[in-house]
Amino acid sequence: MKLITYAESFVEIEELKHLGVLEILLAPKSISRFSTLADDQVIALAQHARDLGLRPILVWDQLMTDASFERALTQLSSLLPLFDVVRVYDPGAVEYLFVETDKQIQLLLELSGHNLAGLLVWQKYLGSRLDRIIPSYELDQETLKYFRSQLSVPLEVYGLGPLSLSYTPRPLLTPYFAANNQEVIRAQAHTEEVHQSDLTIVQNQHGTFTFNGRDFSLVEFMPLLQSFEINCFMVDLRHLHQELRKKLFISVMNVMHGESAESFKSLYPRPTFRGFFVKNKSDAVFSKLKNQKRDRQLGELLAEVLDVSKGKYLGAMVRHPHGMQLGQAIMLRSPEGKEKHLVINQLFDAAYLPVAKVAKDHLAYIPAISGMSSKALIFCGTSH
Amino acid sequence: MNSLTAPELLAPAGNLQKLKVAVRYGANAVYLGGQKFGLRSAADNFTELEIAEGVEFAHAHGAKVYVVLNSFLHDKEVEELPPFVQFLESVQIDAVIVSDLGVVHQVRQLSQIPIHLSTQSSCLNIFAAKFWKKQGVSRIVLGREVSIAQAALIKKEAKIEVEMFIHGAMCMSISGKCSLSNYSTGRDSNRGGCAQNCRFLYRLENTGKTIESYFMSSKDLNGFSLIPQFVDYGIDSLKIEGRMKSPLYVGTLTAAYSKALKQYCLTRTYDGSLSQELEKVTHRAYCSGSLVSPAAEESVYTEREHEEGDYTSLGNILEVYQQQFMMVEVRSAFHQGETVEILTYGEGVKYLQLSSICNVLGEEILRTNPGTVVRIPFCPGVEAGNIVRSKGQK
Repeated sequence: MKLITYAESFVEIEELKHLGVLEILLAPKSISRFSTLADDQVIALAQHARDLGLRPILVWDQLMTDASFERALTQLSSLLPLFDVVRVYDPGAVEYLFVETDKQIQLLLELSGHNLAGLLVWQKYLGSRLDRIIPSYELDQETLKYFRSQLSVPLEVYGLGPLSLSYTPRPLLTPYFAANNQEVIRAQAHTEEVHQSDLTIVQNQHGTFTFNGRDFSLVEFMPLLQSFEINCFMVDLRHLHQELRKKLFISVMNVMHGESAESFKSLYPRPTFRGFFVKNKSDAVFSKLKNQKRDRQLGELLAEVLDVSKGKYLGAMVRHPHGMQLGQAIMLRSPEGKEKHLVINQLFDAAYLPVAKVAKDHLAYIPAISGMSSKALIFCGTSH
Repeated sequence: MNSLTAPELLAPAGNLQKLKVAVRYGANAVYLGGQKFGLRSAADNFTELEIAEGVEFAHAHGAKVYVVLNSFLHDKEVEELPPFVQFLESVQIDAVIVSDLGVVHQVRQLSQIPIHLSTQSSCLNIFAAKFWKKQGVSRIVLGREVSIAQAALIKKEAKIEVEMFIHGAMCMSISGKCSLSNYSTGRDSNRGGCAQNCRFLYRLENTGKTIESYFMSSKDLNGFSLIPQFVDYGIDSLKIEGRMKSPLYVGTLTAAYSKALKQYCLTRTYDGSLSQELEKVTHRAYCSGSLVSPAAEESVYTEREHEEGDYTSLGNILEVYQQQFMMVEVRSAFHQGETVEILTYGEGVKYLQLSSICNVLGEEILRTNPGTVVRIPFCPGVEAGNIVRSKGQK
């Protein structure tokens, strides 16, 4: 497995070369979402990289309307000659490179490409021009391993760095923090509406981006990724101080060569998380949200759980025309598919007064049931 | 005077009732979701029986039906597609709306159903449109970052039908490029679970300055005044967002847009007074998005907008208990002592100061959490199902 990272200076390129890196990512701010490098800087860096025997990769990862596409093509006219391979995100950029140039294409998927069928279409369509796929960073380990086994094109994972959570061309911070007319505006965003770490908001010439409060890291899983035969591991340290980048990169290399990840963890200056790598549980949540009505069809629906207090109570809205009754046999099915069968031996109304029956379209409360959360469904069980 | 060709008016059908409302009020086509594979998990969605009935009804009234398969499907979901696609072909739906390349490929292998590319694929330029046409897509629902003029150019250069949103709620992020919900609630926004984090109130901090704002909340799109441009530029289909919206919303908007489109195509005059109908449904402040020029600051809510009467839906009344208290399903946080509004069915708006909030056991709650049920004081005239809201949020 190779390491790949961004370079922003001659010194960085030389250091990376010395460390055995074979490829570097160069991102001009004119066509790349998160860069500060001018085109002429990138051209100079690309030439230097080539002189040192490294393979520079041009990062063209903006999403474009035709107006910005035309501007990008103007920039590319001077950039492209220095590169044999371009990393792209917009399908229009893929098509342009494929049809109008002879460049190798690296396909950045980020949030899309969660099924093998789609990746095989890309592989077939681009053929030998497809240099590499950087699949979604939301793939879990099992899926990544499976894709690696089924695809012939090299795969690179996003292994370490900030995680962009949203992308809009609209300038969201300008109304609040534009006093200094800065090219890049940053802010921290906190909300009480949901439990989440604070977001870092960055507005630049391409729009406004939100970043997760914790950086994404699969460093501790490098041995596993190597066992999957993942081809490349990408590290993005551009948001960190330059002095720290080399130390961190070496630390990541050491993990790749078998060292424990503990020293890396103690060195990394920001909190990290592994996203959905162990298991993509948004699938479980997906079924909870999408399959309610389908679940309703699996049995005789009695009620829908709306309110749960652990160890105390479970409240549900009764849907059955005959209501819910004391002594009734029921089957609860959680959004994750867990089932519990029981007989109602305590039944309360919305005032938490004991009752014998709760009618349709009224709230019924029973003692809390472990493993049953809000959105669970209650079906009529077999007769008692 | 020869009449112009009217674009298709495409309305949302969150359930069978809304489908019939949309069609009866003038929609040329409706889009709906089945039980799986779509992006509106919280919508009622259609069973297969309901799809069949809806197609029969729509076709009898000269309207088309498109079914969304626009979720970013994982492998096991792709495996579940074939019987559903074959069912859709058997009931003669008019197209599927797809966002994933693998799903496009599967549908083509399984059927002859026309494929429309969802806005979730964020197709924004000519080269992207050409790519998707090569993959077998016959229409592109363009990203909302594309202007009407740009859309016409895409249509011309890529030789493909183009569809644009003309009205309704908008994501702040480029569609399909947002995962805020994924990492805060574990709900994948690209598979139907979006928690709409962009609508939350945020505290922004920058170099010692702190501001509270709904800075990521987009205004609603309103392209009514641009109907002449949509028609003149030859846009093929105009889409109203809102499968989650009420029948009243669907019917009111569909009727207004249908009437205005027909009038312009027949007479080449545009009746701006019809736009007043759009104010009769619940909506956020309107903007024209990127339909003319790129959406900027004016497309975002500011504090000032909230002071002029924007409402936050706090939840809905689940039960009115014997005129003693009311049980509320909480959607957005609210506090003890706050004054809320309750929109009744027949008695207008009721104001209620929350002198107490507690759980079902009577335990006091100072600040509610979304996804719970709380007890608030009784208010005469309020019924189950009534919406609880507040004007702005402090």
